[in-house]
Amino acid sequence: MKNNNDKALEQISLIKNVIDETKIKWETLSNILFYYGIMNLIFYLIQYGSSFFSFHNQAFSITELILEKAAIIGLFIYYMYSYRKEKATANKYYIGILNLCGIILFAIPFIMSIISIYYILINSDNMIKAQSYSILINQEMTANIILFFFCAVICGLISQHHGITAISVIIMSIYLILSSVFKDSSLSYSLTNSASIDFPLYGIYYTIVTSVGYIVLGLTLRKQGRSVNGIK
Amino acid sequence: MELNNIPKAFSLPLRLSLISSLVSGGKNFNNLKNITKASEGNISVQLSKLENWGYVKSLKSIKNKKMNTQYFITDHGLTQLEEYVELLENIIKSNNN
Repeated sequence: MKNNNDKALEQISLIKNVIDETKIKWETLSNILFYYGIMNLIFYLIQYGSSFFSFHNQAFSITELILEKAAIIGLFIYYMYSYRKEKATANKYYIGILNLCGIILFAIPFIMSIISIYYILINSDNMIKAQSYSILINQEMTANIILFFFCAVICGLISQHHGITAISVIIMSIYLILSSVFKDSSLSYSLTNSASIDFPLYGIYYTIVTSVGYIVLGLTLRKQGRSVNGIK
Repeated sequence: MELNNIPKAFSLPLRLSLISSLVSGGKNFNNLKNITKASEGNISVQLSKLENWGYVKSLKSIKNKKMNTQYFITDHGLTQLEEYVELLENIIKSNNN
């Protein structure tokens, strides 16, 4: 016959297992999206800033590229650290969501970078290289917006916050309209009397979505998670 | 809460599983079925008892033209669960001393 101690241990274990099975640890997921948005925002500000102040040269581009890749690697290390820490205790649904998030934020952009490098390397003609590069940039932008859309839909579904899902559909639709119908519309900024720089509307929209969009998504998820898990 | 007056809500593993699964937020019947792996009839009976005792509350809404019932733990249910966990911890501590 079981004594009270064994019964108590059994009951505690049952409660703990059920709570672990059902609880979603929103903190990591919301942090990754938030930091990803902040990282994008910083690099966009640097890029736009460099265009305004005309200090865009080859050395600057290389430094910026190295810093950007280092930031992505840093975020990936944070993701892997959180993933390994939570894998032992989190439930399979949450781990599945974390896996998807990793694929969307790191694996797909990595594969796309490899494809871009490959296309540029196989073309020896500079004209074709420039055209390929331009096409690839456009494809990468569309792919990143689609990835944001998927990320937002997943977050909307797991948090049962239907507003997120609805807004992500609107964001996606606006991007498709801007990049097709208003493809040539741009905002112009005069540097001197003879020189000016143009910022395509869809490009500006893209930078806002992939920076501010991820920041808002991360903050919304954090707020939602706190209310679901009973933290004020 | 004392050892001799443990509420009926915690007397069956299924009732305890149902209450614990609602700690992290509201769930519908199918969610609860997936978590507890119990039969629909048994879950339904236990949920109705827990609702009558004030541990669980349900909210009905129409989703995709279908009736959807979402179950939540009440403040009373949460307090009682916390007290029960505290009691279990005390039993383990006293037996280990």
